[in-house]
Amino acid sequence: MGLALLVPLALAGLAAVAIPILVHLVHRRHAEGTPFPSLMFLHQVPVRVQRRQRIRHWPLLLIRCLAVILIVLAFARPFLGRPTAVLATEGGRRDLVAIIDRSFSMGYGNHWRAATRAVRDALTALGPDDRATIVAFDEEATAMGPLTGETGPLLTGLDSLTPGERGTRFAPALTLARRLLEGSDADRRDIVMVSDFQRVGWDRGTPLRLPAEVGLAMVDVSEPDPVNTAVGEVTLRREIRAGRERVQVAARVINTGPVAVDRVTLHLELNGQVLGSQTVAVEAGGSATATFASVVVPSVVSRGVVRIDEDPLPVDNTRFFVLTPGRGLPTLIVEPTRARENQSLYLERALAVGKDPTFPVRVRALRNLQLTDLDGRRLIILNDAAFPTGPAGGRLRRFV
Amino acid sequence: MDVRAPSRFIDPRILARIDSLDLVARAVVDGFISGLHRAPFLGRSIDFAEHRAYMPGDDIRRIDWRVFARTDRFYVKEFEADTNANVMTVLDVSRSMDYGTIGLSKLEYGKFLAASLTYLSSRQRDRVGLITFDTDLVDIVPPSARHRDTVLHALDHREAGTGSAFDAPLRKVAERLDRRGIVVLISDFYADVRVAIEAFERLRYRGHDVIVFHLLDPAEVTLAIDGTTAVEDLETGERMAVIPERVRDDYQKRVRAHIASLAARCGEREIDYTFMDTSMPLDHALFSYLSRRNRLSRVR
Repeated sequence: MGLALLVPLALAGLAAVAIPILVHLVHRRHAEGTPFPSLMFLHQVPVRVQRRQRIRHWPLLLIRCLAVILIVLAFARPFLGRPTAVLATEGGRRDLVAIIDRSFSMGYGNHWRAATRAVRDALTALGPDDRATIVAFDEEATAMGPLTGETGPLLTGLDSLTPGERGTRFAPALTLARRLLEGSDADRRDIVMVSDFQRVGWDRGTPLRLPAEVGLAMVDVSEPDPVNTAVGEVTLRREIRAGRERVQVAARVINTGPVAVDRVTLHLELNGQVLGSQTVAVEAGGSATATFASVVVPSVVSRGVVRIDEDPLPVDNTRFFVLTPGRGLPTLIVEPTRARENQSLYLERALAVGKDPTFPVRVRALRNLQLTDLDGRRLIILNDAAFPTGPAGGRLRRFV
Repeated sequence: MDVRAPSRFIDPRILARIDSLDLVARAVVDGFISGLHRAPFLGRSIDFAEHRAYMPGDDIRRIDWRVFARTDRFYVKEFEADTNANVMTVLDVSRSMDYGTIGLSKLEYGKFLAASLTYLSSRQRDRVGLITFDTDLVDIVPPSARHRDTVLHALDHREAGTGSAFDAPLRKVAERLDRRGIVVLISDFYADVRVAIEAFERLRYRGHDVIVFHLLDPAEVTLAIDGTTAVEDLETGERMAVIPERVRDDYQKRVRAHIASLAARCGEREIDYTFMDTSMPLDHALFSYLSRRNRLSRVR
């Protein structure tokens, strides 16, 4: 059993050992000073300062340094495992389960290429009597088959795998690997897990224990400071301007990386035509909204896209939406034959406030009402007018 | 004049045990005055000097009506030291004053001295005031006959400040004191002699009588530090490696030269200079002050 670290970068914190050493040096220097009102009448006398640079209280200093080292090691999250022995080929017949992470995050940068290479290396290193299989997992785990001595089909299956769009859960994959190895009578039984080890994938509620004789090696393909921006929610704000329906598109950009991004350029496309671009800055772990200039809503159902420039994870760089025309409710206001001047003025104003849906209004006097006036009207208001007669009245009566 | 009295030899270290600055001032001043054979400095303001012909603008309450009845002419009475003097105590509260090796710091000693002089002046019906300073003016109590308690209170609560400067603060003091009077300056004078003298002269040019009390701790005079050590300047934090045995003679020589230079130049400019180390009883300072006050009172 060897000692490995889940967060080896935390070892950089060992530099903090310098702090207690400095404290000892500085503290000693302070303790030696003799306060005096003024140095005005004193003159410098050369004094050897070697003694001042010596450290006293060595046991205390060592205890403090040890405390710092232990704290740093705790943050590095050490664990016991056999990471190096698994990939070795010596030591009798061997059964190997290679677990490969195909969750959404594996599409980032070179993650997938590195993961497939690691699995391929593990499989090609097997001896002639060894057996292996591949388990691909995201939120669920699937095995390519039982343990087999033929690595060719496994490598072919590996080439056909691609990262999916689902999250990460390690427990189902490890459980499946353990089950595959349960019937094995090989001298050595090993699991190689290749992943970017997203923290959310560890399910603390699921107890998982591998048999002591099963070795587990973890191959981490993650990068230290991943950069990724994604297009989030797209909102459409409709308005009627100059009698034409327009829409203003706003898109949210999310920075999931630990580093701020100064320039993210978003492009708005409608029916394959680029209508505008916006550039925004996004804080680390934050989001920003880009608002495009309003455009006229096409008369047909249109396919819109908001996309950002390429980054290491292209899957989340695009957001699609569909834009339907004329979401208004065509309205007809029927006024009495002897209508007052501006009788429907306030009613028209009230309907004009509506945005979703809008109310395109047409006003007709009762005596002028024609059958064609009812075409396409979804809402008819009799504003203090009698029920229409004639063909229009008959059609309306039948509808009611 | 015999200035010996029962409290003549009150040790400043004993005074330091008294919490109330007012009590300290009373103990010192009352003991000091009771030791005088006569009190030539008290009641001066009612000592008749002469008659003078009435001039337009004179207060009519000062007309001597008996003389008028006899001569049918207006005369006013004049007295010795007819006008009470302004006594402004200017106390250095810089960080270097917060040094002491005999149970009380220079700042505490300076407070006792300032309080005693204020109390004594107030008894003589002078107007008393106070200014404390470090790198700038800190407390300002304008001179007034009713400000004795205010001054004592301000002294009682004043802690040591930061660095020290003489030029800028004393320039401001000179600008503030427009009416001529007595300026009592208490400090350890860690400054260039030329700068200090220029500051005194500015006060002198404005007509003030300047009394200077130069305070030092006995350890400062003799460099009473044991063993090789890094000496740290209280105000600047600057450090200097010092072997006392090797520099002590030179240090004492420099301190004596500084004191002598201050005393000589003050003497040339009619400024009363008194050097005191903090182990000396306070009445020495009071006597120096009263001598100056007496000379001032004889000048009308």
